[in-house]
Amino acid sequence: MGRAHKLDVEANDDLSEGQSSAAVSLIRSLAGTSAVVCTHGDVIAEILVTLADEDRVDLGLTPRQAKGSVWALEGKDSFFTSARYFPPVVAESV
Amino acid sequence: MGRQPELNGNEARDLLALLVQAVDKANQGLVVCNKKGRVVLRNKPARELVNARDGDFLAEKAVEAALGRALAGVYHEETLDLYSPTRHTLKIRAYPLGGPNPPAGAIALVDDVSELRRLEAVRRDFVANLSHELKTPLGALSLLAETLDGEEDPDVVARLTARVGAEATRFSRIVDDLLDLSRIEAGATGSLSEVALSAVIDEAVEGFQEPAAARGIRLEVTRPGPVLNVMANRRDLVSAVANLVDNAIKYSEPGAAVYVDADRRGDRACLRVRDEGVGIPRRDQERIFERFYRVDRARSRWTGGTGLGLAIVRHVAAYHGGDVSVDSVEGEGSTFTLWVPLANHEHSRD
Repeated sequence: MGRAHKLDVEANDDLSEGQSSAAVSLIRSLAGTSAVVCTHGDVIAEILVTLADEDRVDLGLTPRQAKGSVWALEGKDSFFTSARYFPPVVAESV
Repeated sequence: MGRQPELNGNEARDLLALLVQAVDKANQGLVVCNKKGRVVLRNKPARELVNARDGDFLAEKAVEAALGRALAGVYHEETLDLYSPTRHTLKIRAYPLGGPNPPAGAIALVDDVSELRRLEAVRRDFVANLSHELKTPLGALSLLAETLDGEEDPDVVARLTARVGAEATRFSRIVDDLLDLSRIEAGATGSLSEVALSAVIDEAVEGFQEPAAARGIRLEVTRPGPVLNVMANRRDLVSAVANLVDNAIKYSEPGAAVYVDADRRGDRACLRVRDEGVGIPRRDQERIFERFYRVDRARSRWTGGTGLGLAIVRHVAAYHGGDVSVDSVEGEGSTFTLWVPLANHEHSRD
């Protein structure tokens, strides 16, 4: 994905399992930029719920986060305005 | 139907005067013009709504235009937002009279729908807020459930399970507070009885000494010197005071103190909850008693607030015939003051 978007890949401890508040701070610092962030399910849940709570981002009634799925977040100045879910791409059987 | 008896000149004048008085009593503004468009009757509410203020020049023009349309035989309706001297909204409806072709005159009815509009906006905001506030913990449960599914690391499972519990508790607290608010707003509060204010304070602070101490916050309670009795629904008044104490602790830093005291002011009891916490920005002070209004959404999230506590306090104060106010300086702290009428025999001690 990094190659596809011509982005450097960096490892960041703030995205480790259980690092939800550090991850939220990191995500806020990326608002308004183009970035792809990969992390664990529990961290994603915490980030999304925080944005729903604090920024009033609408996640829908039954938001999902299947393995391999993507949430696209839009915002600027540390503040997010929308979140959109993309389910995992399923490889077609040959 | 019999014919209207013919009236002589005096009777017609008396009847006209009576009709003018009658239409003056209406709540609605009423403007009537003849077939030439000349206004022949404008009742008192119309005079007050349309041509009493400088800013209502636009309203007067709108009424004239509406009457003109009606004289052309067309029903006309419009809503006019005015911003001077104060913001208000008028609804103007104009009908042809007599006729049908050409009409013998026209009538314009003018309603001030400002309050209705405001209430509609409050209701819309409340429904939108309520939907968001309920959806967020439900959404969290949905996300956490999917994350838990297939997770094998016991530490992660334990952490996620604790989060599921926290979100379920949050959901249930919102529902509890909503039911309380709804009961109080509906007036289903039961009768008031004489209650000692010191007993209300004791019951309200009872559960907070330990959590306050755990956070390094001193909770200092000064009970009213002479026995001070108020007319109250004990449960609701305890809940209101507890909400204020809870907030004061949540918004204080370790090492700070929260003070609760009460005394008598005229025919009312005055109960104060003072903290040395973060304070409330001036721009937010008027709005903090609104349902779901939060000064700091991040802090509210971590403290577990539902956004309904102060709305409950305001409603409890109101139905007791009292009031609640806040005095706050950002960075220095806040004092919430709850006023409640004294029990009747307390007045005789003056």
